[in-house]
Amino acid sequence: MRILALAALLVLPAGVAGAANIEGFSPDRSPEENGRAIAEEADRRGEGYGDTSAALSMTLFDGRGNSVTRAMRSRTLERTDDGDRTLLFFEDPADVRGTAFLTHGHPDRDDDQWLYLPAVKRVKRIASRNRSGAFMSSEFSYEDLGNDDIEKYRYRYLGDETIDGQDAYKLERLPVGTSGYSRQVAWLDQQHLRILKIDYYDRAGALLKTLSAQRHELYEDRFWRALRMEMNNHQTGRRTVLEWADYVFGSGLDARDFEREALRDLR
Amino acid sequence: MRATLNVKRYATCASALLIAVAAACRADIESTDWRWQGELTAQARWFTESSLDARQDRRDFALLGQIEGFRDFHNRKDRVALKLRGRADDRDAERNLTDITELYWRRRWRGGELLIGVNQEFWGTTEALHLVDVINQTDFAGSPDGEDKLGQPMIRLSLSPQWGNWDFYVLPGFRERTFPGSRGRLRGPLPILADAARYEAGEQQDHVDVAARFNHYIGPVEFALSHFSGTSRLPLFTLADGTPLEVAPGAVGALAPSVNLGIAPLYFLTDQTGFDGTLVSGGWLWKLEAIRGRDPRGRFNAATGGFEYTFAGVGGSGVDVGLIVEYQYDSRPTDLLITSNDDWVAGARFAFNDFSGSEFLILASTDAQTRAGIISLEASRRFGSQWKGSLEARYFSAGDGTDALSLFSREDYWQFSLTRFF
Repeated sequence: MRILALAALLVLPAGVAGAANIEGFSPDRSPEENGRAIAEEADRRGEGYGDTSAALSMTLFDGRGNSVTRAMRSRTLERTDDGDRTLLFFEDPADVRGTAFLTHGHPDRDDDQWLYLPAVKRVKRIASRNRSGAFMSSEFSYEDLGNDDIEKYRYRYLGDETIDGQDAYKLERLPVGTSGYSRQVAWLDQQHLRILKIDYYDRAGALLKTLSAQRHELYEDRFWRALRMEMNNHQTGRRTVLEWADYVFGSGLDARDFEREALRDLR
Repeated sequence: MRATLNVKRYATCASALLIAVAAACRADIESTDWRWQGELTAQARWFTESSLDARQDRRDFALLGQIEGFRDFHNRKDRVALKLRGRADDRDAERNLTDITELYWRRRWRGGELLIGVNQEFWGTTEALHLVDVINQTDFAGSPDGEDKLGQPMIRLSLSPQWGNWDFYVLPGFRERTFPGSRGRLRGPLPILADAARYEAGEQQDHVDVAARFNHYIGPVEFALSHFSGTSRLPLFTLADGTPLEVAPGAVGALAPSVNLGIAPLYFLTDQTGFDGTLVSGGWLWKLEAIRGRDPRGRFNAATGGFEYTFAGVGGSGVDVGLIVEYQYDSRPTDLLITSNDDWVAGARFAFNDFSGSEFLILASTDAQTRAGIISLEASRRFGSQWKGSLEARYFSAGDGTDALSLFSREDYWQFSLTRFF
């Protein structure tokens, strides 16, 4: 089980093979079968990255022309026997410096998530339904930043469309476990199966947010990462831009770097 | 005298650490530079009622400083860290503080880590009361809510086998709880004389305490078992001349404040076993902390538990509202610092998710029998990226007057803080 990693953000599916070969994808199969086939192929192409670390800036726009930028670092560890693990921690603004957010992804159940509050040196569990809450005042929810394993959705292939001049598969994703969304519609480019765009629908079925992934870069000749992601909230007019830099693959992180205990002296 | 002992102890710790640092520096492979940060806070408190003790005042002003830094070696396997805290109060010398909150060397390996030096550790899960959290002494003069802690010298060995995580502690060097002095607030009618502290252990502050904790999580269930053996961080009290202060708050309140009268902390030896657990279910966080220990009066049990439920983005506003309900039980008789015998706590936390990170917390507690209680408010917001303003207020209600909490019924206050980060 590997990550499909759309909302996981930190790990975008990658691939160098062309669109031609998606196992199990064929016009005479059902939309559900084809949707699953696309998701599985995207997942497969993202496998084998080991671990990554990167610097991250998060800029919040309030819709009235004001903006503010935060600085973070991210670390990700690939797991073959379980979902991937991700860690995000703040470097700026000063009053939340050291605040950290840890996710243990699971393919078959809700992710386990924790928040670390450095002022009281306390690790706090995040309730799974609270995952729809805003991550540090941004338009990204805890869920968006969590693990996005392939088993977390049921899929449906909705056809082909062109996004920013690229041929794309249009894919519906219906959350299986606890989620703040009723459904998502994702567009993946046909050549590399990279996420280009996702529409998020709230539990009432109304369009809530749109994610645009841009500036895809190829690392290690195999792994695509979007260096810019923009989340637009259609209901509030607010948006958040995430920008990555200094991606490092295989930096020697191990499971202990992603345990709750590691949070207490993380800086 | 006691202060001298502590300084000596710290000097020893510091020297040991410096040797370790020197050793680490020599093999200077993949080390990072020192990274420093600090903060400076101006804090003003206003008490809404004047005290019966003429030495006290309704206003109080303090400056707080904090500086911390760390350096990693050997591709983050080794770390040395330092954190110093200080406080200067314009009225009450007992509120002045110089604390080494952290000063340690830590080495990690695949299955665990070893930490030697001074550090701060938090155990537990509940919001209003921290029963199982016993490693660090409380800086009660700093804040009555028990969230401020003093650094604790320790050797900590952490092991992470396949199942769970173990922490073993050797804790040399006891820290006394800070209390406001005779000129300071927030206190009862009689000042607590920190210098008159007495110990059950013959070695007094040099008694070496030990502790261990096992914690684990299985999906939505987290739990920890802990044991502490040594000098209790939470003292009992006697009158300063040694007369036992049997718990009769009414009687204490009736004593006229006098320069010569005071209450002395008694730091007794204890064995305390604790359990804390959290259960995640949908939007619910269920929490429980329970302890069993002994004090000079005998065995006791105490427990606190409840839930936290969060509504994310209430009414499409982006405001997260968390509801907190907890119950507190304690078999010990009510005491200056043990007021949660049969109490309910309810409150709400608002996270506004705006640019300035505005937060607001209101908690109200009340004793089911005596009706004594506390209402507390905490609010904070950022100004720019380097400033933060905070407001804190507490209102004490005496109930029927038989609760130890009624001793604080004149101590309602408002506190304003402005912090600059560096």
